[in-house]
Amino acid sequence: MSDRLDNRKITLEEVLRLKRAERPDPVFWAEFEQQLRAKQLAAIVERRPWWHLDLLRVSSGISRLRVPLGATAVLALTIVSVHQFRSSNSVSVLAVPGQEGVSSDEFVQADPVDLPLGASRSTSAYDGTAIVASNLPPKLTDTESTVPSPAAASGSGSNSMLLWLDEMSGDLGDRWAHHTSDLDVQFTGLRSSRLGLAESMPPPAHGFGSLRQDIRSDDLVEPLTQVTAPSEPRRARLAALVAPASLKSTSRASSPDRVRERMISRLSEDELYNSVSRLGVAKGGLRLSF
Amino acid sequence: MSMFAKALSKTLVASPERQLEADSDWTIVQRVQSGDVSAFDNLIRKYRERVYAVVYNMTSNREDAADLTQDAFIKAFQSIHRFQGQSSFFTWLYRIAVNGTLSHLRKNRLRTFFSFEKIHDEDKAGEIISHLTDKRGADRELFVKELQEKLNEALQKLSIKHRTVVTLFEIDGLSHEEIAEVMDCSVGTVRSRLHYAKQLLQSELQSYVRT
Repeated sequence: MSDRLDNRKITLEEVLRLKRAERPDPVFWAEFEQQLRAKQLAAIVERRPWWHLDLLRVSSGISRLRVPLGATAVLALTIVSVHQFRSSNSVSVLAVPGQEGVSSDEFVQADPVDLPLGASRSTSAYDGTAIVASNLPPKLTDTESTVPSPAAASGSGSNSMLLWLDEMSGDLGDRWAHHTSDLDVQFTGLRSSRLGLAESMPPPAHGFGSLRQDIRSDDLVEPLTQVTAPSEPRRARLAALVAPASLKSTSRASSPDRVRERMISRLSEDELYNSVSRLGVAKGGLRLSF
Repeated sequence: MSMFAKALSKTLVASPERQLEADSDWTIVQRVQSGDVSAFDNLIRKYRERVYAVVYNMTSNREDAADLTQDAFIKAFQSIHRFQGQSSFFTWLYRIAVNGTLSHLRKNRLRTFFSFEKIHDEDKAGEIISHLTDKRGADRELFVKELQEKLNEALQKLSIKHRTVVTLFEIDGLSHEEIAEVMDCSVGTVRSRLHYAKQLLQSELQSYVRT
């Protein structure tokens, strides 16, 4: 073999060409044809399931409509995302008129009936938004409530309401917008009804009507004269907060003097306790600490 | 054949002989599509040896090759109504056969049995064998059998895709473009696979090959 190999160069291609010579006998093809005929007949006779045919039809249809379907999907996605973006923007815009609702809410919480008369009188136009809103015409109230007041910025009840609204915005933009608009409608209705009620009330010597008249007469006075000392509104606010609580907690029979006495006695008991805690027994002797 | 399909098949079919072949095949395919089922037998008789050779050289198992070739023809028959002449029929048939064989080889990666066809050592093959050995009679047959085993072992050491490229190019004689179409890859990929496969075969068969 080696002698022959030395005489002539045999390439890889020639060796691989030997594979072409690997052929089956003619008998093999006869058998092959018989088997193939049987398989072909089986394939013709065999009924394919209906879903297979339908799937073939659907897949061929989809492959034909691949580009239009893709374009439609992209378009739909774009529309949905733009819609989402717009709705989120509208929610953020709605947050500003939400302050109107805030002042209205404050209006509901700080009921003029519960407020002492002195407090309502001493409340300035900036500070007591609720009280002023209850007595001024709606147009003025709207203007005042849409512009952020210094009281709102200084962390009053309206600020907490804004925080609440911010929390709500994190959850659902659409629901928030819906609720805000609902609240606006409700508060506007409530405000108008309250104002209508105030208009229709007869003018008694002391009460709501006189308060309205007093404030209206104040409007005629120069604005600088309405500005009161900073301590007065604070005191009025505290009194407004304490008054309903004291009314609920104490009975009609107990007087403010009685409450004061109780507080004094509690203070004296605390002092006594502190003084006793400073005394102690140590090593068989009395210890006194200052 | 539609104008578009004709133009496309012209780009895919390399030689004029292949173009004539593709045209005659398209005529037969149209007959089958119109309901003449017996016309498909012409296509079977025309391509059975070539398809069988490709599958056999990929599997190195004559029984598997027979089954896979039959399956390829049945699949082609079942889906011939979807063939629109965008490529030549033989490329389409080759693709069915090669894909079926590749999936079969992937499924039975660990189970490989060899069963070889007899080498008909006349014409070119006899000439090559005569150059490789001067033995006669039984010794020559023994030598040929040994060479056949070495050759198939070397081919089986290639990956499935490399083996397919070598089979289609060196044994079946397809062009790079046709192989790229059959295997659904680029011509560059075909060339690189062929180069790598030849290097490996060269090292495996160096005792027989003198360059």
